[in-house]
Amino acid sequence: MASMLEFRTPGYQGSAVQYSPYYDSRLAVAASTNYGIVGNGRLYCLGLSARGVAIEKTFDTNDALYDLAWSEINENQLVAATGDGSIKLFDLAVDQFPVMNFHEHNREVFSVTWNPIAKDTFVSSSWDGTVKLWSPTRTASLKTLPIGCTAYSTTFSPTNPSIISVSSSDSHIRIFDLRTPVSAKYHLTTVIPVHAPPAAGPVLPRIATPGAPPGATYAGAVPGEVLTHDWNKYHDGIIAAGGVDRLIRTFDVRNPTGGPVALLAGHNYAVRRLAWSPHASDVLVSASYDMTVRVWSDGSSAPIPPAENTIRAGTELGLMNRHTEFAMGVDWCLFGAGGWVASVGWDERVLLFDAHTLVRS
Amino acid sequence: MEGSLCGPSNGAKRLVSHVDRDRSLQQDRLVNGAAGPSQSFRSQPGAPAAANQSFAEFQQLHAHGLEEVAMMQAAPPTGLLHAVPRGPAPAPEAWVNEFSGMRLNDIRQGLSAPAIPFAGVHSQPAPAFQQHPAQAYTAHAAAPTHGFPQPMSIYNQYQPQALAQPLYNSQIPTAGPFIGMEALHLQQQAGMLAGGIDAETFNQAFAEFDETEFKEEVLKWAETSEQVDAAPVALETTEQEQMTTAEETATEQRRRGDEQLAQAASSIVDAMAADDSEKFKKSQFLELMRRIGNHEVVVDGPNFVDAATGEVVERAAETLEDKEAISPS
Repeated sequence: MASMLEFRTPGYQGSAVQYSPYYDSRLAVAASTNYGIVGNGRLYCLGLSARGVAIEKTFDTNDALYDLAWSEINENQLVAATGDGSIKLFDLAVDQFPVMNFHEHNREVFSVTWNPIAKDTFVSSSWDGTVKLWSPTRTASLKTLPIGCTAYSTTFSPTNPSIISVSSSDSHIRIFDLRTPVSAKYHLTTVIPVHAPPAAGPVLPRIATPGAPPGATYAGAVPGEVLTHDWNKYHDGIIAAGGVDRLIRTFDVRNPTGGPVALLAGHNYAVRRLAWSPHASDVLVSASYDMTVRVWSDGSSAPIPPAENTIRAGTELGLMNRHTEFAMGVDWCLFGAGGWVASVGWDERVLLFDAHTLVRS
Repeated sequence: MEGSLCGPSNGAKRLVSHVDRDRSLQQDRLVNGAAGPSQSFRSQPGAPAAANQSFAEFQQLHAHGLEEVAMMQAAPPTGLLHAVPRGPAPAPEAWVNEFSGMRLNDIRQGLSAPAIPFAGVHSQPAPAFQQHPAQAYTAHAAAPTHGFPQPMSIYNQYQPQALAQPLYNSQIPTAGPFIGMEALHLQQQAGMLAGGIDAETFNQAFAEFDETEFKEEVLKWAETSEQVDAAPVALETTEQEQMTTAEETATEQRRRGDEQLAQAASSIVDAMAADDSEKFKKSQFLELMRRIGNHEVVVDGPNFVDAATGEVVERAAETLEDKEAISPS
């Protein structure tokens, strides 16, 4: 644990962090007073220098902030998801006030993600059971996708600008393809039941987890809320999902009912946020209510492929235990040698560290 | 082969593939001889002489067409709708009316023109004379002397929407101005178009309907869920009709809110109760939840305040030693 940078956000508990896609020395943190239960929010824009982490700019909001996303099309802009249902677009060149306000959600907005390919849209998910597609230049949403229950996280496919995925409280990941005609299903093309056992085959798959007893089979789990998910940046169609049942599962969207591809067990409480590495195809990082940040390998790069009808076991590469409250947000830096991670927690701290230093030898 | 549509194969898809096919190379076959609905579209190997002959025929027909157009030009614009049935191969009026009715319906519903099944459509701006049938005929009559541009403009009157224009232009880019042949074409395409366009039109119509309906449903759902949340308060206020001052209602709502928060806090504390690790014992969040659950701390405006003293609850300053002690090797 040699190099670790720390920044404090006094009075504000962080809920999300993201590195700028334009600068290797800039990141933003969405934070709220009183753990986001009551009070205000503050968006921090932080800069890294030889002297450590310093504030470049802050924006205050009237309601708690739950998520943020850097603009992919303008290096000085970012959007923040607030508790009053609005999404605010801030510009680093403009003091105090947002340059745009997008207010259509009726409840808290939990997640916002910018389109990484087309770059001209972003998507938001809310407690009101909808996901909305926005253009940064229009105050009215371009599209509304119905979920029907709390939509905790939404993101775009890293390989296709028309594909949106949503994880929700009903234990499902929904995948929408905007290229399909608006028919009765509102672009919904695939539904992954996260906790269901594999639908195909009479024989339940074995679990290759080292800790599991020999011959253990995977028979699904009690449906629970799926709090977070992310697309693998290298393997097309692989999604990792985490939620209140503490496990991280990876799925192949081409076989949505086939059950998990890999199981990553280790967190002691719900998984709040996870992110696949932009540098390696099998590495992801997760932040959890057990106050830890863990780095995982999903086992896909193992030299020996798993036996037939077996769920792969992920391995925990490392554990970052410095947060003293729930770890809420985590993100990879896109630049550098690879492996820098930022995490935020309700202990009012932002921690920046090299994931390689966590890896146990 | 697959067309521009993905998804499972169905009957409509075959039709779409028919429409997508470029028939421009097959037009001359239609001109030959007495073009009838039964004639095959298939191109057959023909001698050059036959081609010359057909060209001569074409020119004669050409002149004939001009005459007819001139004759029609004299007719009042209102009579133009009957121009097609007067051609050598009259098109059944039924589908024409049906088609125009369908177009009009589209306009009434404010739907945009479906373009998906017609991959080859190059969007060409609709000519201005579309709105002036009489002028349209003037332009049309002038056209054949230069070749074969925009032969189908004559049909624009049936399709008030811009859709029809680029559609037919792309279908028959080089066809001569032969009303009979055009009628034949339209007749043969009617079936295909009815399939393709109908499906698309209906899809879009349903989509529009669904979209608005969905919005209403969402609003309704949001309202009902709000009502569920607010239901106990509403009930309470009806019971207390005698004392309905705004202040008291607000106090009651706040008390309700505090009660809900305390319950939520208690459930969080209970969920974490089994954990006796050092970190969770020291967690200020869990400590705050404990105090909220015990009604020691309540919400006041944007802050948590101590219920007894009314002081704002601040986070205790952390000591650096705590953090270092917890960090792993």
